[in-house]
Amino acid sequence: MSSDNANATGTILEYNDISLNNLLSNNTISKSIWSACYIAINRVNNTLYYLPNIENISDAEKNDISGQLYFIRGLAYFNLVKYFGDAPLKVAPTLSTNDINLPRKPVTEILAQIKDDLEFALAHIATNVNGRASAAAAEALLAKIAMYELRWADAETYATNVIEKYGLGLLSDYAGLFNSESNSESVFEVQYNDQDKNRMAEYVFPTSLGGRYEVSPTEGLINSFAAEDVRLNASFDGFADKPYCKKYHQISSGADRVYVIRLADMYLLRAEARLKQQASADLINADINTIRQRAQLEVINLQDYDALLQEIILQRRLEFSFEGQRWFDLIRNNLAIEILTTVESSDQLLFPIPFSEINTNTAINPEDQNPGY
Amino acid sequence: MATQLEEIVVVGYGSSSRKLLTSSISTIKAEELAEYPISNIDQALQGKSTGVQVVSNSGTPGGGISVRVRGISSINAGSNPLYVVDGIPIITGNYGQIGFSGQTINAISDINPNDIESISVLKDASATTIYGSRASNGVILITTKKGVAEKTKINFSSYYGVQQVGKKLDMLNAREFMDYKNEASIAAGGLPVYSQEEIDNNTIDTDWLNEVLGTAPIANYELSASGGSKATKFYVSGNYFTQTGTLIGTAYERLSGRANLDFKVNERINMGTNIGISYSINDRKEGDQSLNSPLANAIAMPAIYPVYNEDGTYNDDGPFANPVSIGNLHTNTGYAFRNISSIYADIKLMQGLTFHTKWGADYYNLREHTYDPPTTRQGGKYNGLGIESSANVINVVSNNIVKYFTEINNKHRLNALVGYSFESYQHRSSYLRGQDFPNENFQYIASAATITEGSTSALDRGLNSFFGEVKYDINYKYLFTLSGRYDGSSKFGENNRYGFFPAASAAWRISEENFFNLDVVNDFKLRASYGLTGNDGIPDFAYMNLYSSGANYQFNPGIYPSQLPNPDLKWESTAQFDIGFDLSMLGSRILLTFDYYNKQTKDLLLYRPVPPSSGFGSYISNIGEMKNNGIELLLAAKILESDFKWGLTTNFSLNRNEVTKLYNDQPIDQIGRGENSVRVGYPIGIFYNYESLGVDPSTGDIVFKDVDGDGVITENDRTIIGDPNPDFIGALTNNFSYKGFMLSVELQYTYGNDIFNGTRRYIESMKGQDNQLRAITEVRDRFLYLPICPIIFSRNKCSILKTNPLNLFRQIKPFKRKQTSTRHLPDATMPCNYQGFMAATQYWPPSCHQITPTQQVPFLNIMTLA
Repeated sequence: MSSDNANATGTILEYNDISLNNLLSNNTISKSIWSACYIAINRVNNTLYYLPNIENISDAEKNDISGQLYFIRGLAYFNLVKYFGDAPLKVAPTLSTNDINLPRKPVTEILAQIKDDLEFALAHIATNVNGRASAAAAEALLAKIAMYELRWADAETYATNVIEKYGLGLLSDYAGLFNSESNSESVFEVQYNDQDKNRMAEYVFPTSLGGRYEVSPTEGLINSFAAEDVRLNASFDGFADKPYCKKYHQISSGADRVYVIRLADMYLLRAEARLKQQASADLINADINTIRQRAQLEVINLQDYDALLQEIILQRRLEFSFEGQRWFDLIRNNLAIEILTTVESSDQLLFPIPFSEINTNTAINPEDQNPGY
Repeated sequence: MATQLEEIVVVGYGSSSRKLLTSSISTIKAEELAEYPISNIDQALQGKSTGVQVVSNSGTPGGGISVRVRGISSINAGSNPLYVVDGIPIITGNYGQIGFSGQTINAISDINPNDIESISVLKDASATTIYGSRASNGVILITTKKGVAEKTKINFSSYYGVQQVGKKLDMLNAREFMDYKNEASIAAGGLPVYSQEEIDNNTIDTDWLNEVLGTAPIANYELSASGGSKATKFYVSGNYFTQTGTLIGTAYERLSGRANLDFKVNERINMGTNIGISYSINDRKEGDQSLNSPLANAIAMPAIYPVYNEDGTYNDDGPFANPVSIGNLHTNTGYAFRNISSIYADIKLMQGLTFHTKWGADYYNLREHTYDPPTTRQGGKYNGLGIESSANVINVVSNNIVKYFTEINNKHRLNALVGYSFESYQHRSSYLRGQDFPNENFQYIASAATITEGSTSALDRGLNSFFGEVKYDINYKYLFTLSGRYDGSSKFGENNRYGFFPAASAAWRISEENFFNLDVVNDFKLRASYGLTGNDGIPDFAYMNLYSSGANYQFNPGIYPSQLPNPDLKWESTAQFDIGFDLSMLGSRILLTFDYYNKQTKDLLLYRPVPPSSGFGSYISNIGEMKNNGIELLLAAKILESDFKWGLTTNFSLNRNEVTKLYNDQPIDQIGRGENSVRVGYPIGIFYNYESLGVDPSTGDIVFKDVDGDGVITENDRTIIGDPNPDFIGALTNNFSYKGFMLSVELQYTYGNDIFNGTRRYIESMKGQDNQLRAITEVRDRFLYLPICPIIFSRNKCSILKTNPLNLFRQIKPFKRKQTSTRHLPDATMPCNYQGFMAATQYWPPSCHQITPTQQVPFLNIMTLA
């Protein structure tokens, strides 16, 4: 919603502020992102704290479980630094009210921690089940972190490994990604069923279909699809009246999965990493074409790096619409201010530290707030 | 009369003569209770005692009631007093799991008021401290009747009456509703909703309130026997009470029995038992904030819809569920079984030294059953909806006391006691909700095709206490009392597991002094007391580090850390100072009691926010402070004492509450629909909202006061617009008797409390589908809306108003209204003084008479067989 893919069109007014990139520090939506990450981190830390005491499981199993936990924690911290920048770094559980005031730590320090954790995860996770953290997921997250840190060669290596080593493959039919069957393109996803449900479909569906239409696709997004691009009709509907996203469509059961990382992401990341290293255009075109061909688009052969970069960014926009990537893709490439009409200042590239954190945490003062808030 | 010098007053773990009391205690005797037909103890308290405010939370027979002794002294830990029946602290409160917005069940409605010999209301610290950590909200001691050593007396009494609603809301009839809707539509630029032909030919005009409110009988039958010999005394009674609610489908029935037996084993040992059992059936309906409430729906439903279709089925074409169909078809019944029983022994150890031991249990079993058939709107949604729930509660109490009395030289008297008590409490509950029933012949969960919710809970709690008291007097003239209790509770954090609650008091009977020679005064006593008490109404396990289930991962069950520990968590504590006098004049024909008190409460439980980066939001902590102070005045006079007797009793109480500290002094806002607020420097529960300056005739909109003068209405413009706490409360009772005939006339009043009238939000909103109050049609400019509202709301600052200011304008409309209430014999249940913090947040119809029956109860027969 912060990007140019989605608009707030429902009744939640704080979505509107996010859509306009005009947040206040008491925005409850951004606060809930912050809190949700730290709730996950605390749960991971609790489990890690008690794991050594559990009897009757082998060290290998413990390492597998630790690896999965490190992945979850790493993912939460990666989201935190992407949204908020510097953040409190907590690797021990909150067991009392004595250890609750922690200062913001630099992004580099947090990333160093989670890279270590993910390397452990990569080495020790044996589990390979859709919906659980796997070694492939750890490696994919390392690729994404490397991109964030501009370590292009590392990113390329990690992405290549994810593509080649784990038996993953792109689904031939893009629309099939959003039915309820599990698939081999998924690197990490969050699964739901009718007991543990989400409200994704409810929030994106129009009211005529029982939804709230809180978030809907922008005209710009819809118009960016080529006519023959199968992803348009696989992702959206209602073009005549109220266009809506249908990647999440199980409105009664709330059982739609939410992708965190798909293999397609690795192809486009690798293309981007190679481009930044001025690698051969053929290699870059090959990865882009893998994605284009699946979308029933014609093969391209661009030689100009600028044009290639634009194509990568466009394909990412179309491929991952409503999957939470566009905003960070634009920021990573320093394009947010140029492309987004609602972003005028680099201050807007980070969300504010929630007011409730600053107000209660004695180690974070009002002057520690991100600039511009 | 409430006070007699030689009257024996029941006090904590003992009794005392009134003249030797050093503390502030109100008493209510059986004779006073007999003056009116009452269905439960709370009603007995109303208007009878100074400093006690009784608030009916609902008009449902057997429904929840709040009792406040000397104001409210807690925000989150509860303000109801401790009830003790024959020495056994009893379970109170609502154990119902099917809440239905305010239609709570009242666990003390199970006690038959006709079995009560006396009620003592302990108010000051000196009287209450002996109940330690549970005494801050006052203590109500209930003593049941005992047999006396005389010829057996058998007593039968009954009454029968009918109740009806005194006043109903005057709503628009069908034609007026159609006119109003047409006008609204035209004003909004549309076409009339109803054609003239439709209006002229309409034959349906339903008075929905008439359909759901009716005349309801109330009846009581009571048979008791008492008597005994020197060795054995008994009191046994049986009672059947039935009350139908004036609202369709509501009723309360109670069957109870009691046996109180006392044996003298020998010169040293007395033993006895008190057994009280009851069974009650409480038919309820969903409460007034629900869209499945017969009353709320009857108010809101336009008159243009019929009750029945032509084929005799219920018509459900209206915007709300048909209230008559809910009233008749929806089942929501609570079945309560209660047994409060104890056994005791008194053993004389030596001259002046006795040992007293009492063991008792309060057992309470509540089963609730609801069923909505598919023929009701709510039931239809789920193809039949049923809930079964049960709660089992048992509290076992043991009191063990050694008492010592000595008198030296006929001058000094010393009364001392030390005791040990423990309580063990268990609560088990279960809840099941199912839907998709085959048909209305199958109403229990076993027939539900889908179980949508199921839960159980288990809770154990314990209290371990030591207490003591020393009373000392010199020549009955200088009186001193020291008392204290040391309470350990499983609710308290490990750093504060035990609390000590001491108090001291003294009294000076000036009239005993030689220099005092006013003949008109026969007794004059000055009293003062100071002490500490606690309120242990904190949630169980609140101090602990907790994990909860529900964090499922990959559809596997998971637990997660859900609560931060607070090992320092403890009771809320109140320091109370009391000073007063008791004056008896003209041979006790005039009695006057006065008290001034000052209660300072600290360590109020509040939720203290923590940094979200901890993974938690808040934890419970002892933070807040508030104070109450007030005066109480009781005057009783025997004006005529010949064959024709006239006695007058009047009481007056005034309490001032102020919240003095909150967490960082941040106000707690927007509590309930009345948007009550807790703010430092103000009484608890004040109404804090936008102040209406009236309707702008050019727009029809309500204009709000721009309090900060910045030209826009933001949340900074909210201000104090009312206070639900009364300025003062009181009662005036006249008793007349002539040769055995008796008439009692009582007037009760509360003054100065503002009431939030939630109903008017809807029935004067002139929007939506609700029917409107007839008076609203007099607002002639009602539809001159402009498309753009004149007052601009600033973005980001006022989220509650941002959505659609035009619509919300009429919704956010608090009303001020002063109300006093009266009751005259024969007026059997609660009059409508639902002032007070909790009640003020309920969704009340503008006239309390809507759901609170104002009865006409003629006594049919009262006879005594000797």
